[in-house]
Amino acid sequence: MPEIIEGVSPTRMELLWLRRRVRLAEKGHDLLREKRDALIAEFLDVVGEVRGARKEAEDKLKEAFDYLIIAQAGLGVEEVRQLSLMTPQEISLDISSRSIMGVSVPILELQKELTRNVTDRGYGFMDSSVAVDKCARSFEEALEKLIKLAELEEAVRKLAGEVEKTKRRVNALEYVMIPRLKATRKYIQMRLEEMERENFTRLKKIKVMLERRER
Amino acid sequence: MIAVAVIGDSDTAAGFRLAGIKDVYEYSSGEEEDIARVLDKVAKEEVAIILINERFAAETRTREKIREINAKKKGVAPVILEIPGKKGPMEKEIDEISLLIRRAVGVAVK
Repeated sequence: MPEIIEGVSPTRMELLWLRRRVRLAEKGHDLLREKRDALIAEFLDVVGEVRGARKEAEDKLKEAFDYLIIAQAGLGVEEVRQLSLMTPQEISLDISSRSIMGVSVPILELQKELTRNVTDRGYGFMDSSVAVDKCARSFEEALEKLIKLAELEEAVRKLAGEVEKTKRRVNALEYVMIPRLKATRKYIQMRLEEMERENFTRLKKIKVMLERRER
Repeated sequence: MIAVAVIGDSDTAAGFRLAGIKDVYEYSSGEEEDIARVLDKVAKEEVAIILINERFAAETRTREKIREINAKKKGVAPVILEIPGKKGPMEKEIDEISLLIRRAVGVAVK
């Protein structure tokens, strides 16, 4: 038996007010449950995507590291490091957000492709090698995939947080708030009925007493 | 506004520099204090994505910092993404995504 809310006086006013609250809580509970189910559906969708994206990005990155090792073996670690310092590019990334059921998830959009031609990278042909070109290219490709992955993983993180929050609210309403309100409602109802019965017997008693006095 | 920042070991740093990223912070694992500090600094600079080596991210101090940044941020940036290093993805008992699924749905999916 859930406990009743403390400090309520068993009056008709309280009863009316409680009935309204029970109705409201039940409506809120239904709405939140719907929200939770929709969120979970959305969440599972994104999760499906993120797994594929993670795999793809990791594979690409693995490939990129393999080329890096080859480049380093050919030219030496220090030389590759020197080359890498000569290749900055302007990365223009648009960051905005969209809302899924009231959860804002990021959208990361590249304004232009990251993959460049060999000639645009800014290192000389003399002191670089094919391996360096391949390495740079796969890192550029890997980066594009990683950006996509970042967007998805963040969405998963945000959605998971919201699902959890909604679930907690649904459960709080279902197992705590609503039972408690109902128990309190019942308590007041019973007290009121009891008071009515008391009153009834009291009136009866008075009537008998009055009749006896008249005689 | 910086698009992508990288915090990683020397190989990760060289690779992503080759891809054209300018904001590359090179550390070796174990330098947790420095990594935490640089994370803080980068997070303040309005970076869209922070790529961090997952071996770094697995260190206690760094993990704490990442959690702190994620909890503190108001918008969607910065997005912190953990990436595998040269030796490939780390063997983890449970990855973050599976953990999130279990917490959100209540059961492990897939």
